[in-house]
Amino acid sequence: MTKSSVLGYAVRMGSNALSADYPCDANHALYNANNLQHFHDMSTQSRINWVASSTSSAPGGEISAKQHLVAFYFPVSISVKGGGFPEDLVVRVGAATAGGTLSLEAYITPADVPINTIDLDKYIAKLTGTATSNTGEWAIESRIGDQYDETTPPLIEQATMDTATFTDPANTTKQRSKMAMLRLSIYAFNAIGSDLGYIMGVSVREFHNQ
Amino acid sequence: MTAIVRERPLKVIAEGDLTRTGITSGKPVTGLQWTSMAELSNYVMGHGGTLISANAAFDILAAGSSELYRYYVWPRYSTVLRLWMITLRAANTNARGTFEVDGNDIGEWTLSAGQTSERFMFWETVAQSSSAGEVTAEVFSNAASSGTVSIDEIACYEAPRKFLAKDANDVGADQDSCIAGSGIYDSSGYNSTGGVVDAAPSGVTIPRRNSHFHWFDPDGVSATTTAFTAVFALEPEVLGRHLYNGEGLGALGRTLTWTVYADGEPENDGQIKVTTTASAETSTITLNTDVAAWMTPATFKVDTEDISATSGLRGGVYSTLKFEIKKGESPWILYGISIGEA
Repeated sequence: MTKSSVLGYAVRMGSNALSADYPCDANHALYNANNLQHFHDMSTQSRINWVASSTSSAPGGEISAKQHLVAFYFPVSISVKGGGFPEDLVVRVGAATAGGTLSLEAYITPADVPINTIDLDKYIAKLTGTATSNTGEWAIESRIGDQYDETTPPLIEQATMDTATFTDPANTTKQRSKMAMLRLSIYAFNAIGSDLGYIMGVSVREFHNQ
Repeated sequence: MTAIVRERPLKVIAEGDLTRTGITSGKPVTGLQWTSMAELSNYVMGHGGTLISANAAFDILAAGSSELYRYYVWPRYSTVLRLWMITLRAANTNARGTFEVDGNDIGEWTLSAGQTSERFMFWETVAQSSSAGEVTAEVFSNAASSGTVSIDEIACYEAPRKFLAKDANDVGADQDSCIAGSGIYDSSGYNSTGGVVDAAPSGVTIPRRNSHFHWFDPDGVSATTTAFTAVFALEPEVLGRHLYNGEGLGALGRTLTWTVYADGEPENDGQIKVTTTASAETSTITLNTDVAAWMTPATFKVDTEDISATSGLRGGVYSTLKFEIKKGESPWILYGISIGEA
């Protein structure tokens, strides 16, 4: 798309005197709407992208009963889908174990849900997977978004937080911007016995696909 | 007058006023629909992004000590406020300290009783700039703390704007000038329907992905062999933007910039190499310093996403990065990697 060609067409179609009720050709409106939608799609962001260089720089240790290993907090864009839904999230969790099968549970929750008392009614998504590699493997690879339903917005609203008031240079009155904050909490357990287990990587990427 | 950045700009669209099929070729376009496009444009330009994607070295911080993290960043000019977020974990509940960015104290942290893991958010007001360069983040533990703290996460996000200036930097489109009865073109700025189409192309550059991968480990990873060895057990994913439908790009469609923070010897010719696993594109940085420093940035190409796939993955496969290091005449230490879309 070139700016000059689109703008030039809009100008050619009329003048300042024309009403915006009939501003210009619908093809160009559609063209711009499509591009803006696509630019929004493409503006989605990687929120977490971490891998461990070794087990000594990874959370974990001797694991038997289910225990919390690590949590990452991250903001999500408030979606164009309306109703306060965040964008879809593509989530990966990597893990390693010294033996047997390490089971993983990852919960996406609003950031302010107490981490030690995750209520099964208050998570946005629960992801599960297993790891058997002693060098590391991606045990969870999932896209969430379809799980969102009409009961979800209140949780997201809980997670929506205000910044401290600050002066936006484009408007000198005190204003606030908002970001919805979520948390990825990762638990691990060994169903049989006890063994070393580590979280070796986590990634969360927003993805908006119309 | 400034342009408003709505939190949910497409509520109108959700009602069917503006969708890809809501505007039909051959029919007139109303001011209301142009207003919706102006709102969408402002949302695209002003909804912020990731400056440093969340990462961690899981360093253990003793009372009275600190850990310093360095990142090379590519900020967007429209940002005026950054959200720094750190996540800490401690067995005791008497841990507290401070957090500094570029040597400036921007907040204090105190772990709450009974929390296994807790986040702390710090807001940093910044002057508008798009200059790439280093930012440092340092976590201090108060000498009066007891026990140790694990630093589980460091991240920085560019906060959404509430308003955008209607100039070439912020590119805010004036919704109010798109209403019925208004002119279609105003040369004074991003006003009217002409302003919307004038603003739209900035969607290519302003909302770019500035953080594909940021990693820093104060302890570093040593390059001790003359053969390339992997830095990480797992390979982080990377996905470039596919800008618009007619772009015709896919494999190796987007160029990223990367640099590393390393320390070596003056005569060292040690190297770090990144390889994209999907398309086998490689880029190598050779050490050229005898003090810890950022190396000269290099570029490489990555695959872009497939907008028609539910996960965005091209061919259903994660595009990942493999990092390998080798020593030159002497060993060297890799401390940090930063990758963005410059």
